[in-house]
Amino acid sequence: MRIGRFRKSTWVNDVASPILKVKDLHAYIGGFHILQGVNFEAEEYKLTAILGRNGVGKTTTLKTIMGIYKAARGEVFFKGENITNFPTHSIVKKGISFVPAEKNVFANLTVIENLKLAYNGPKEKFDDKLEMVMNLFPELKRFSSLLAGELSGGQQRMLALACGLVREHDLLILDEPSEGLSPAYVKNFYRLLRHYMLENRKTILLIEQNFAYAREITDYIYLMDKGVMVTGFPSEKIEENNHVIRRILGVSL
Amino acid sequence: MVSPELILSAIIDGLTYSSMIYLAAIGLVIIFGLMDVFNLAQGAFFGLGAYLFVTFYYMTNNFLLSLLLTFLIGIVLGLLTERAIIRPVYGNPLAQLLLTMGLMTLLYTFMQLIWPTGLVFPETQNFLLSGYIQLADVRIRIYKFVLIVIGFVLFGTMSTLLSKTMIGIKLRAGTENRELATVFGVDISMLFTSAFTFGVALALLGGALVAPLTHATIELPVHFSLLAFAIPVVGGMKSYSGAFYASLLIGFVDRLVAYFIPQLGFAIDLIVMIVVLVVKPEGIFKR
Repeated sequence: MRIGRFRKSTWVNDVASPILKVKDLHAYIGGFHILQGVNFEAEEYKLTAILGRNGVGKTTTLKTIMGIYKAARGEVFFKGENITNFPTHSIVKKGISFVPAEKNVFANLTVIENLKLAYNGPKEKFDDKLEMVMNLFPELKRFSSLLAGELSGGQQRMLALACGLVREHDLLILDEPSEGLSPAYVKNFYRLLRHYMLENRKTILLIEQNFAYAREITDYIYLMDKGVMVTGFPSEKIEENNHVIRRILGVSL
Repeated sequence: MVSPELILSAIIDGLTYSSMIYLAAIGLVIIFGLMDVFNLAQGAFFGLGAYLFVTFYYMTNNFLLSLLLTFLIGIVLGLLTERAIIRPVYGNPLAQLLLTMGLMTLLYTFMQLIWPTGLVFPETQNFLLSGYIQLADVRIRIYKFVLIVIGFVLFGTMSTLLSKTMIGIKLRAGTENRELATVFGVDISMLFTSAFTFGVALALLGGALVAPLTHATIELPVHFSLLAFAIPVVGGMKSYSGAFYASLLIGFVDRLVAYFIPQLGFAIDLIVMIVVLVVKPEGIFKR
């Protein structure tokens, strides 16, 4: 069972089996103190979402977990191992697949080359993995020999997610996967994502700007503001947290 | 009237010169393309390759062995340079320029100190190395054809490497977006080391390969440094195939001008570079 509690400006929760645990994470970008003590956990086989307005440090949190930005203080644990400030490629090797929000595919590589590069499992299993993602995104099959830069924005996003899925992982981290996609497509996309997670027993952590989408698909929600996690609660307790949601996101239920 | 023999000779010289420029430039383009490091010492490494190769040839009298030894020394030098000089200043282009300029000066001084009068590649009994063929009235050195073949084979090999192998895909990915490459699991630090090492080793190998024609002189690295720097400007700063086409363009323009308007000399190469910079600053062969 999850029990949440407020601690001054930061939020800590106790998750039964966290695959990812972030403790008091601080990061500076260009001299600005962006992450000011981020605490949160992601439970195994669940979908956790971080919500917050623009510029509160959501993407910085993900990039610091991934070792792209240096953590000035604090720790990141993945499957119990301290991976703070590890080189990004070795974090990927440990089983975290990250799909950035922007510039998330190589425009000068073909669709199939992007997928080949993303795959890091045994060679003989690549075809199976490829088939799996091609079944999820049949549209990509038609464009496999095209350069990623020749695809539409939506198709590039699809490819980025396919790359994230084809990579061997236990935890999939997605930075605003719905950005720039049509509402009709997003709904279908999240349905696919959830199905994939349950079917393959994976864990997903994502950033979502759109509260309406997040409440439908996530198991657990964190609200972020000014470089800290303000609160976290299971999705079924959204109603109880209406006042915080309104204060942090400026939306009401 | 211009005789057909003269045109034939100019074409063969143009192709040979293009190959030589490509050999001098390809390492520079790989290093700059991936790492954004403009290695000013690349031409000096090219010259060093020529000196080492001729020295080894005197010692072993074996062309392939001398090439191999030069290439191996190139790998060691590339690795040491990357670790000791380039790695500490990644992300600092000014420091990189100054350090590679310092390295270039150091290498020039070293070459002048060890080989003050240059080294002449000896006449051999080997037909491919020292033989000639007669085409109409023109006598052409066979080794020029060898160099042309080597240039085209190297281009073919590079193209295959870049398009068909995993290392090539990683190289192209790292060239386009380093941060994303790490997210895709690429060990960018290892890739940088490998690319720099390979780039320097290619420069030494290039110097070695041109030595039978040019001999090893201190003018060789100076001349080819300038030509090699023109290649990424003309071909596109991060275009691997552009480097080949730019080499062909500069090689042909240079040789044809040398044949028919010799007064222009080396200036024509710089004129081509300046025209490209003004008209198409991203390079004429950039995709």
